[in-house]
Amino acid sequence: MNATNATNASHIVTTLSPIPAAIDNSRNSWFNISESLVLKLYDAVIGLHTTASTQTVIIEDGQAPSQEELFTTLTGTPALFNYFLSPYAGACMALAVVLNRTVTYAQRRQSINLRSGNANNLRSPFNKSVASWSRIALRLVMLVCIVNGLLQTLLQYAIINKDIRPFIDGVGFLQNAEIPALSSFLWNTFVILGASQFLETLIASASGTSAAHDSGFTLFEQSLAFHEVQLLKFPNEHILIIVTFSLLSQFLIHATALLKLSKYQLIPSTVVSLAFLSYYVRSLLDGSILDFPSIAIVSVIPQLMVIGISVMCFAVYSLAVVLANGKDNLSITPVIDNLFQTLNLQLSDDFNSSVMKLGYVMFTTATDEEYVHQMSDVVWRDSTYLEETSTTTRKNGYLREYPDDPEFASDGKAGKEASNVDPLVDKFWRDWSLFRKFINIYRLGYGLVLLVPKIYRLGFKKARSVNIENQKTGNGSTDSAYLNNDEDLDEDYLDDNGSDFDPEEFDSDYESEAEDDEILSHQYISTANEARSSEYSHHTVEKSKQDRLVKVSPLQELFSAPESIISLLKPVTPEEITLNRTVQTHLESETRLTRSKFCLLDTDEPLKSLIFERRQAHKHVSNDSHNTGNDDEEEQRDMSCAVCRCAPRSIIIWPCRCFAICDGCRLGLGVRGFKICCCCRGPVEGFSKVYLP
Amino acid sequence: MATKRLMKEFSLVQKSIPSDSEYPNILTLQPQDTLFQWKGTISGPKDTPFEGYKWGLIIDIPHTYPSSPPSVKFANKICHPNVNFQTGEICLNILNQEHWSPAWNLINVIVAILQLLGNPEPLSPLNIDVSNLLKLGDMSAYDGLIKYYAVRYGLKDEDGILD
Repeated sequence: MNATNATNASHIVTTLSPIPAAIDNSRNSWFNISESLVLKLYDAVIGLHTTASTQTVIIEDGQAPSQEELFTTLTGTPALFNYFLSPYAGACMALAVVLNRTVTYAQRRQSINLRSGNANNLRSPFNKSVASWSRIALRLVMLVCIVNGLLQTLLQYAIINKDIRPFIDGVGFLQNAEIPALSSFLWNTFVILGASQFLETLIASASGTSAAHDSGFTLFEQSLAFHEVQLLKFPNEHILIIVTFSLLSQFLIHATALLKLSKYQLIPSTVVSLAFLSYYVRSLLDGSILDFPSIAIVSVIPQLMVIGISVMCFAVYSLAVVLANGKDNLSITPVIDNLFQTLNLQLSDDFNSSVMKLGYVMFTTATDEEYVHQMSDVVWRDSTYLEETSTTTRKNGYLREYPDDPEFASDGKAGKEASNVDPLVDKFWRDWSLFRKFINIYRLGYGLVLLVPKIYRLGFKKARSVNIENQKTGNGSTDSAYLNNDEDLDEDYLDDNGSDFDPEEFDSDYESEAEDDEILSHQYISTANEARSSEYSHHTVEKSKQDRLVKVSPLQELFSAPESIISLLKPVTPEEITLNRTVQTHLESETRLTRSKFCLLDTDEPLKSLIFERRQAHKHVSNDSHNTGNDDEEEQRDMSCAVCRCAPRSIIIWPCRCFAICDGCRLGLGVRGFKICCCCRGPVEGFSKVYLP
Repeated sequence: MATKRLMKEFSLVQKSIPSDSEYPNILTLQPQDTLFQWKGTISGPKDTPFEGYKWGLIIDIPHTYPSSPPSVKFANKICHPNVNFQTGEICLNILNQEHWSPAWNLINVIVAILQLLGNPEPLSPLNIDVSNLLKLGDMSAYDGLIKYYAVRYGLKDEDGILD
């Protein structure tokens, strides 16, 4: 609200709610504006404050409020609830239903010809049959209505600004025209807008095209806005601008359709929308933004933000172009150059959706460009992780840096070797190994203690067997505990002994006198076994027989079901492959393979040595060819692609298994439609890529 | 791709052609102004009526080589069931797009032509008269006709090699 209004009609000021008046005092304070904006939006939804204040003003004026106004301004009703009771909401909903049904029931029958992409071919036979005169007549009527609405808006504007009254009076039929009340003016405008949209939808559906979109405000937004401001006694500038903008957009839709210029709709739409946006920005800057209806304030913000960000992006880009000495040096240039193809802008679009497309592209290119930046981080390695480990192990530990490579770290052994562990964990491991040492010493002592009676018993056993041989005929088996047992039991003991551990191994361990802790613990376990099994020997015969019934062989235990044997022969899952490999290693190994020994085996060894050998040979060949010219080229040529003769071979053709071509030539042959193997003329069903060191 | 591959083939030809052991019947094979125009000289293989005579070959290489086969023609007239007497055009299946394989090189092609000289295919003739003789089994007439034209049109020793 500005000062001229206040002087012209003092009651206009009183009709305002207190908030804008407060802004007048401190108009330049942005803080206050934003605070008031929040308050206004809050009022718009909850509505207690505004409606109450407005109603008191009406009563003060002494004019009897109209039925409609009373209906919509019940004291204390929230504004949102108020809106739903208003005729605007009803009209809006009714129109929504009507438009929805119009699209279905007025839809023109269309020939569906998917093969011809030309839209003109699609429509032309049907457009001819449409009664074009009726369309023209309908649109003309609508245009007259809209022009009438625009003139009414002009009349309303004359209330605010007396200066333009002479202009209006100049127009013949508007002279002395009665200025309608704001609420009825808004209602009429809303009816015109609704009718216009209905007509556009109807005509578009009936002629088989898609209806033109109104940029800017939707019907719902318009109804909300009109409802919010209809209680004002006199119009303000902002609502009139909104009305003008809406009417003008509808006018342009009908006018362009009438002139068959619908495909250039974007141009007038942009002009009108930009004009409105600039007005919006202006009022934002001078603080009169709050005179807009709340819904108008909110719904323009996204457009404004998108345009603002786009302008900012272009500004940054053009600045960078200047700094980078030409746009070719900037990585975003291709995107900008192809912006219009990416946007897929069509002149038949409306301004609003074009802006949204632009915003979408602007935001998404930023993320796309990220990948381009990351290209520099991609590392091309000359060697595999296997070679790296083999070369680094020969290095002095001081010179060996562990690569920070996930592949390398996932390699179990290398991961354990890595010294960059947490110091706490490191400390824990040191303590733990110290503790283990103590335990081992204790075990050594305990094992030795156990060994003494063991050795004694062994010696005794020998003596006993000698005894038995000596007294074969005699019945001297009554003295010791051993001799109390049955022969059956004795056999069981031996059996157990044999299956659990190798007596030979035990002997060798015993003889080596166990300097190593590791071996010692083995020994300890075996002695413990010995002790346990000797205890068994004291059990009764029945018990051992039961044991024997339950006992199954370890192989049976491993493969209880026949499927698991099949899975061993034809491994599919990684676990099965691992199991297969483990079993194979066990079978191939010459000596008994313990778990720790298996862990020590380097399964990558053959692969490593192969790669190393091939690399060496390659180096050798290339060195020789440097020294002696072309003599060794023939040898090298053997592994070059049979087609292009330069790239190394990397493709195996199935099912003939010809290994002759490189990937580039494979692609070339595939594109050119070769169906037979270029080496053996066999059919080609597929290929595999192989890596050859 | 074509140029690179032809360079390789040229170096291969330079190595293997002068040494008589591997390809005794290919006398010369060398590119002309460009790598896409080659000329060669062959001598008739042993135990065939062509033995002892020489012919020139003109090889045109398409730019899509080795995806497409080279086109080979006899430079001088030769009497052979599968060679057009007037134009020198050769009827050889591997010189057709559908039977050509990119893995073959120019030496392979010429070896195939030498094979064709020894093993004519009278069922797909380009020279009907001489192929009829072959079909009917009149070998003395066949040999005589070939030798007559070889003496008449073949390259003489004093001609040297075809340049």
